[in-house]
Amino acid sequence: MFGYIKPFRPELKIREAEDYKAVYCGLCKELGRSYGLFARMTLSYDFAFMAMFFMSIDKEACPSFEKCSCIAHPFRKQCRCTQNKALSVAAKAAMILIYYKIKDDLSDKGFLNRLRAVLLLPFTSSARKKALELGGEAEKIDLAAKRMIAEQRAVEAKKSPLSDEAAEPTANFLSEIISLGGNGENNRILERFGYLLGRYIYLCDALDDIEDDIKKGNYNPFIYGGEGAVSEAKSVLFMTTAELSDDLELLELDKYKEIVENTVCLGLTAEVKRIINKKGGEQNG
Amino acid sequence: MKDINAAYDQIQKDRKAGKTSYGNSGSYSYGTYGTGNASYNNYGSGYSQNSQFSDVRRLIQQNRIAEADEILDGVPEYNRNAEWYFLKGSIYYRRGWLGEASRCFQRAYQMEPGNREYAAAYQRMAYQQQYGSSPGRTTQTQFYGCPCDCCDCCTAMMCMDCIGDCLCGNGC
Repeated sequence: MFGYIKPFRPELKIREAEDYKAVYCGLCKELGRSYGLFARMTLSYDFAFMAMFFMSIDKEACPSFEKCSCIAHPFRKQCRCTQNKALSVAAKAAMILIYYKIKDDLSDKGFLNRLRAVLLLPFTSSARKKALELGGEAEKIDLAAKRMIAEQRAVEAKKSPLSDEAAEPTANFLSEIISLGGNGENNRILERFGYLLGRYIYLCDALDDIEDDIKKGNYNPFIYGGEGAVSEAKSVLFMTTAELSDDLELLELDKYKEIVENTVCLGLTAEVKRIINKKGGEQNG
Repeated sequence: MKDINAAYDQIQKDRKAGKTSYGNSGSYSYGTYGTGNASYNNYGSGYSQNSQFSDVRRLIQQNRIAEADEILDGVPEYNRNAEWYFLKGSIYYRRGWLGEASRCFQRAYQMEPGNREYAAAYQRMAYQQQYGSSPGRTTQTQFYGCPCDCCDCCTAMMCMDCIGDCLCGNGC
């Protein structure tokens, strides 16, 4: 996805930051191991959070760690989370989603985007095949992603001025993915959590791209708001992050509780503020 | 599973109920807003006694959102009062359509400013829009990273830090 789900570092304890990094490295390794070097380059914060979240809600999960060296950090050994189910689900979701995004780009207006898509398609399509071969949840994820892309196209064709409607395909997709980690008892809470998280990602991306989309004439649900687009976006995003924090409170988190809470309750709003500040837009406090 | 769902509903309900005790609406302030996570699905507790839409309220309570929505949509435009907008907002809220939900709550509040139920729903969302968290929560980020020169300097330092991190790992 797009890297909008990050912990708020100033409030992380050092050991929490280490844990987070270890999961991040673990996901990178898992991508490389199962899908090759290309896949490692698609590593993102969003899926690292997803893996961590799955470990957090699964009481049975018992992540272990190892010291290892890494190309990106050649001079120092890193601590890394070893392979486990949560990492493998997050990696599958990442590969399948990227395949569908790239496939969707094939029909993009911009020539460069199309070219990039043509070049990347073979890699992503073989990664998706591998994910499907690994089985497990891959098939469900694949169906959900396919549906999301189709729904997204429909919304864009309709040029809906409602940000709620525009965000729904992504929200539904993440709702399905996140509830894969459910144990039957907490599924309802997870569904809403996933829904809101997907909504957050979509709306953050839309906010980030407002100027670009206006210039290129692309669809963006916020451009219909004219002058007030940024503040409108901020309002809906802040409502979404507030609801996410409330929903999280209902979940029983096991390990990494602090990091997940930090990310959801602090990281998400901080990211919205960062995007708005980057635009040099209105200030807030 | 059933128990859990019932408990979930109960928690949601309690959340709303706990917050409806925030004193009179005249001296309303966020600080006194009960224990925090106010929501507005507390149907049935007194408010709904003279409700025009008690059937819709019941459906929402039972989480039969689609049916409730259908009934509301069947109400002709000229018959849509403040309660209609409030209930429509509640349905949007349940579906996660927060933008539309807040618009509906605002409309309900404007049509009937004296109604505490509508006011609570509207004010809670207005608070969320401003702060990114619900009333009563203490976890809020301090504003950081302003678009001024001194902060560009900080950003530069942070970038340096990242580069250092890349080269020598996390300990250097």
